[in-house]
Amino acid sequence: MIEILNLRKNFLEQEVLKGVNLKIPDKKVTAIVGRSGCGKTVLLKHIIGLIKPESGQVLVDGDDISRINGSRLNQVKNKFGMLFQGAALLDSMTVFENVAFPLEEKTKLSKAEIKERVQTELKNVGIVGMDAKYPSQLSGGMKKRVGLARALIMQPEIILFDEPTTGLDPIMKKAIHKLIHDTQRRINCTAVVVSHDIPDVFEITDYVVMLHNGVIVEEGDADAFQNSANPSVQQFLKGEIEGPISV
Amino acid sequence: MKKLNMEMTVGLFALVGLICLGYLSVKLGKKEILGTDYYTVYADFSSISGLRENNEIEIAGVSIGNVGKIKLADGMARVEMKVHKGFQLPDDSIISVKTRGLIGDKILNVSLGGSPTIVQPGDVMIETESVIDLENLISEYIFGKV
Amino acid sequence: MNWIERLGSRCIYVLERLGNQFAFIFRIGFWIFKPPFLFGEIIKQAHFIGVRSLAVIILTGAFTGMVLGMQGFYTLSKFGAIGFLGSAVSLSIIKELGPVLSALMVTGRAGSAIAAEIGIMRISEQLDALDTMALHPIKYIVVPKVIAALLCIPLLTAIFDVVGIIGGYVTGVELLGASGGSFVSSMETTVQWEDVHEGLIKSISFSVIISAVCCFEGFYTDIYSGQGAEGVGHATTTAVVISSVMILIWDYFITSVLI
Repeated sequence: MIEILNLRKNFLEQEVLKGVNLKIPDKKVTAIVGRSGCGKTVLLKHIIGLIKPESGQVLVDGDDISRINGSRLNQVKNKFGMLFQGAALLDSMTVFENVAFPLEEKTKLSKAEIKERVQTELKNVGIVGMDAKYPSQLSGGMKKRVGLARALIMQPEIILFDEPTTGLDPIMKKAIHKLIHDTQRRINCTAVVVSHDIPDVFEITDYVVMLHNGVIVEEGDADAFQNSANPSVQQFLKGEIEGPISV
Repeated sequence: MKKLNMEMTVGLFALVGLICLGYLSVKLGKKEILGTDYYTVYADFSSISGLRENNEIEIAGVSIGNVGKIKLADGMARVEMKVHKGFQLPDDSIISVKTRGLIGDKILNVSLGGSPTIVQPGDVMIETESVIDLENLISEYIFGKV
Repeated sequence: MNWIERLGSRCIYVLERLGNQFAFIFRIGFWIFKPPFLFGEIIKQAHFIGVRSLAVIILTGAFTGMVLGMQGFYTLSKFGAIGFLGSAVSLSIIKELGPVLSALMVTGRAGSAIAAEIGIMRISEQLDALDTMALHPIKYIVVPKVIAALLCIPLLTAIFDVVGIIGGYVTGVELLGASGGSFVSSMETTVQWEDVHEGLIKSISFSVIISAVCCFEGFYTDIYSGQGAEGVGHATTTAVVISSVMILIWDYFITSVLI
């Protein structure tokens, strides 16, 4: 259970988050939508503790992630897997080494067991026979798949996706969406997706949250969200220039 | 193969680096790693001006050791002499401070004596000649005292 | 803002950055002794910092020694003291030029690459990715580079020293005709362990400066140098400039303490 309480964050003079309150439902896919630069990614990075807030709390199963440290923090981080916008694979390692890295450093599995698990995980995301390739030799969609395999390898309870479809062609977009959906159903985890891929993202989400001007302006089930009476939401969904959100 | 090559080159690099470091510290820096191969005797001088630590000690121009610490004892300069173990000095040998060249280093010159008693480590040599004071010598010559 | 305010904000910025730099060094010091020790990665970095810098170190060492041999020969011949050529060349290389020039060359070759590599890992979120996997980026990325630098730079300096002395011998003795015997004997009598020790202390402290500054600039690219590829470029330049200037300033202080 992830609970965000009155989260505030400034960068220099600019207030990015102005008191975000949010409960992310368990075992569901939650989408955080909003305009580019509205602080969606910043919010996501707060959830996993990459950024420390000015004030407020992020409670992951009751632990405030910005105020714990040491092995306690590592325990909480081990519940997470994260897929970064650019996949963030380590350049100096091959596909296999990238996915195997968390297992090698954090578990005492034998080489054979690691190989077994890495190959299963790569197969699950649809990557076969690419073990020896380097990230620079892969396309954007491939990198995302490998990044997802790496995020899944430690069998996390929560997976965060930071704009998983940005910069991909429409077919690859659908494929990644399907992959997120299937993965969530397969391992029954909590998924949080940051996206401005409207309306495609609604196909895979159970719950939608809209962030605007540093606060949550609307939240609800995917259908309820699309039928929201909030003029900001309607303007955002339809992509209109005129409306309460100024360009 | 590629990985082996890398480890090999790093190993070679470390070896070459350590040899260079060893040369600098052992050969040039005279760092003793395997114990000492010299023994120490002392000599008292009324003046040693210009003599420095690590200057050479010679017999007939052949180096037999180095000057160690220099300190003051009862108004005399007490010089520690590190003499290589192969050389034995009779206890009536005369130790004198000499200059090599006109602006050169000061050295300690040993004129071997004839006594059958050999100096033991830690002994103080008594027969010493201090620095020849060039200025003094010249002024004495000019004013006719010599 | 008037100029006093600008001065004030500048001071605060510099102090904050300095504070973060030292905090960064303490964090490296903390992680450096924590297992696991990533030997494979250290070897890889030693290959990059040490082996790949060898050519440039030998080249600069040889030419530095050769020019010292030549300058020393003509200067000393004015005083009729060519016999001291060996000690002049070896002392200036071992005490001063060896450590400083090796450190500057390594900064230019490896330090800039370290800053750029870590900077790219920062902007492409690779460091964040390690963090989310509960693998500390300082432990996994910075510490191996620091250990490799601490081991390699003193060795590179020793190689520079020896090559430089050989270079001085070649010009002084072989080309200009000073006596080879007096070159070697004056060198062996003048150079003391204290001199070698001084050079060693210098090169170790320079390697701390290089690795700490270059890793710091890369690690905080997004905070201090700006976003994207331009930020990485800026971080690389800053890393080289700050390390080089710090090496020269620190060299003065440490010489005045050790001499």
